[in-house]
Amino acid sequence: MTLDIEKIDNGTRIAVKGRLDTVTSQEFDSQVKNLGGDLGDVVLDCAEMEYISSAGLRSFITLLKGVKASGKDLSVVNVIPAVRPVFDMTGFSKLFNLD
Amino acid sequence: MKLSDKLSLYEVIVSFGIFIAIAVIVELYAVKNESRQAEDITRLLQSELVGTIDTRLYSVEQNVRRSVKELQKETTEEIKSSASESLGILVDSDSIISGCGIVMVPERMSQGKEWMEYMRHEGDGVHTMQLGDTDYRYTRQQWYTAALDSNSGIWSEPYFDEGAGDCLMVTFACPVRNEAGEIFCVVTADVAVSYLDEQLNRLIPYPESYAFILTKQGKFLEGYPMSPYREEDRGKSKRLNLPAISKSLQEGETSIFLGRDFICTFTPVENINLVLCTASPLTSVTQVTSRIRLPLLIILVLGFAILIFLLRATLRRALRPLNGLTDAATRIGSGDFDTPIPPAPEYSDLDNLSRAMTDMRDSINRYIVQIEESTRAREHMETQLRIARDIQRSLLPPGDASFKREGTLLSLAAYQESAMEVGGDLYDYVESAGRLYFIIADVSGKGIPAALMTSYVKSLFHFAAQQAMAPADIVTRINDNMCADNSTNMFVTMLVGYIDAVSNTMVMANAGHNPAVVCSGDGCRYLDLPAGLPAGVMPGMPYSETACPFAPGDTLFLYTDGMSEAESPQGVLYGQEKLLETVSETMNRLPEPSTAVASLADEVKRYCDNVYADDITMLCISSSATGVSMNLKYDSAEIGTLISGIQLAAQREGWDDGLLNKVMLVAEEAVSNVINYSTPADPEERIEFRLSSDAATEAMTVSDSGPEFNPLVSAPDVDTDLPLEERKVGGLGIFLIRRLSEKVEYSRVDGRNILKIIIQK
Repeated sequence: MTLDIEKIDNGTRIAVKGRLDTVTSQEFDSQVKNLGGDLGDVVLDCAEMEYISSAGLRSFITLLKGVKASGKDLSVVNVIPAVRPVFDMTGFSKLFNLD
Repeated sequence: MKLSDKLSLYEVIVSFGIFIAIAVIVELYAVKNESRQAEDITRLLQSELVGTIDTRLYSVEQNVRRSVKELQKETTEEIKSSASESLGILVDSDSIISGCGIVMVPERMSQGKEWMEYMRHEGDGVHTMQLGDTDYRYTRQQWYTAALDSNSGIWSEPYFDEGAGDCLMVTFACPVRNEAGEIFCVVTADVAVSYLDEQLNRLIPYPESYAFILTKQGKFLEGYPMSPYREEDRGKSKRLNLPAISKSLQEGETSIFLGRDFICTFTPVENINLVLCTASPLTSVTQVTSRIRLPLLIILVLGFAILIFLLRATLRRALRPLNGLTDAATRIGSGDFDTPIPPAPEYSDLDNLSRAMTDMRDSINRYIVQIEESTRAREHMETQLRIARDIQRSLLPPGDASFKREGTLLSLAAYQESAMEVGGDLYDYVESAGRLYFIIADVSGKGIPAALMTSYVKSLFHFAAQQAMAPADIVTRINDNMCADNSTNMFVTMLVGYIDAVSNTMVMANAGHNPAVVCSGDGCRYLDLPAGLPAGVMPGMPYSETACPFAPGDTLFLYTDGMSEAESPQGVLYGQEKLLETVSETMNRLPEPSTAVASLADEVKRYCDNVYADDITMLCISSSATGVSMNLKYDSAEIGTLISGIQLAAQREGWDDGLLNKVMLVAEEAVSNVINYSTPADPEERIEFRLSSDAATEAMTVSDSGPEFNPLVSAPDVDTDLPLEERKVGGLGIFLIRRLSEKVEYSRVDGRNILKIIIQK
């Protein structure tokens, strides 16, 4: 799993590449944490995210909660069809406004 | 061109050729004959004339000699004085004497003077002249000198006597001797050549002929005027080839053809050195031939016209039946075998042909009936054979199958090619009592008898295998059954065995069959089995069986001798050594049995150039592990190992992405759940992860040795409709497991937490 992080107009764009599982979600958490407090509006680009497990989902929720707390917004985009069912089953589609 | 026309034409051409040849020969012969005749006639005329001339000349000679005799008695002076008298007598003695003379030999004269008296006819009278010395030097004349050398006179050559005779003449000069025998005087008598010329009209055998005089040398006489008659033919005479005549004269010939136009005949008059010639144009000589030429030609043409007509008519009539026969042959040739054959006139040449054609047509009809019958029989037989082949094929189980058992996949591939419609090879397999039973067998012989026997062996095997009998017992049973009913002494070689995927063993019994090939990680080898007798040979024969390990990664390859004894076009057998080599190489390259068997079949097919001497059968079974079996440490880093293991299995077993994602997610959630919430008493303890599949499901088992913990009841419920603020982070894993699986069960067995998850494929 690698993250491509770039600053955009009023926030941060994080592109997740590869697998986001129990092991790699810890890296995700620490890398996001290293970005500091105010990320602004966060866009999670999942175009190249092949897999996500509950650990990954937890990382997404943690990030979402943090962003929301600072009054900003987080959106998850470009979820590939193979991964989409995980979001749907867990109700995360609604949570991250995937539609 | 029609045959009749052609034959007529040939006939006419040949006859015409022969006729022309005959005509030419006849013509040549006739011409030659007529020419010879003309020559004879001419010569006759010439001989007659020469005779006459000789007589006349002889008469002249006699007259001169008579004068000489008179003069001998006289003296010179006496002669001189009576010369006129003597000459008068002489000149009148013969009408052909144109003139005569007496000359003195000057040497015998007193003063040595020349003296000559000459008398010649002139008009009705005679003219006498004195000659000699200056005006007429007779001593220089040829006749004079010749006379002096002669005994009793000699004829001169023709000459123009100028000053005396004044014409072209020949002179007979005779010496006069005195008593001492000395010549003192010469008497001459001249005969004008015109005398001969006047005679020439007697030498005209044909109206167009003409005669002329030549010197002995074949030359025209100098100063010899052409006669009026010859004047007309001057043109013709000009064409006379004098050199040729001269040459033939020298050679003593008597006639010559001058070109194609003239025949020239000549007779010499010896005394006076002249030659009488008659030239006759061939046209007049060959008048008879010419006269019959036209009628002959007309007869020829008419004859040919009649010949052609008759020939054509005859041939056409004779060959007319041929047209009918040709039409009939054409119709027969185009398939109308009922065509009537037109009859030909009895005993004619074509009658035999007509009869032969009738026989031929009848024979063809008989053969057609026979061929139709045999074709029908053959087609019937072929249909039966095709049905038999279809039945035999349908009795064979599919050539591609797989069996799964306890994490082991047995893949099976078979290939069969019969040398004939139906074959004597057999392969079969049955899954029975958790084992995969298999047989490969080769019945002695080929074709229908062998095929029938394969059915029998197959049913014996099938029945015994379904009862899960031991391979040795199965072979024993087949042997006993075959021996009991085997009046035809057929026998079967076979390998019968089973593979137990649970115990990873293979058990096999051999009845005289080619050795099996077993391939494992360290290569392929022939399996060493005790060789039993082929089944059907000896009743009550005991057969033994051999067990050997057959674990995932191993491959079994069985074949019949159709493969090991495949023959190259050069007659070289494939052989066991090459077989093992090829199988090794192929298995290494293509571990999948179906592709390996297809490749081997191609290889053999290529080797024997598609000509199978015997049935060829191959059976290949490979064992491979399925699913995943892992012992994981209590460390979330192990998730990576787990996922790779699952991915490998997915690749091996050809899962789709949906199933892979589902299994990965469930496995990760289940294992990470254990890692997160359970702590083992001993750090060396491992989480056991097992995944195995059957046709419709993947069964996953995760067990750990931690304190009893049922995640299904312990996990908090997840409400997916809750807003973010109320969503809990925990419990998602178990939630996902439940959602993605068909069935989740927890049990505590032997101090281990066991979570069983069934996932729908």
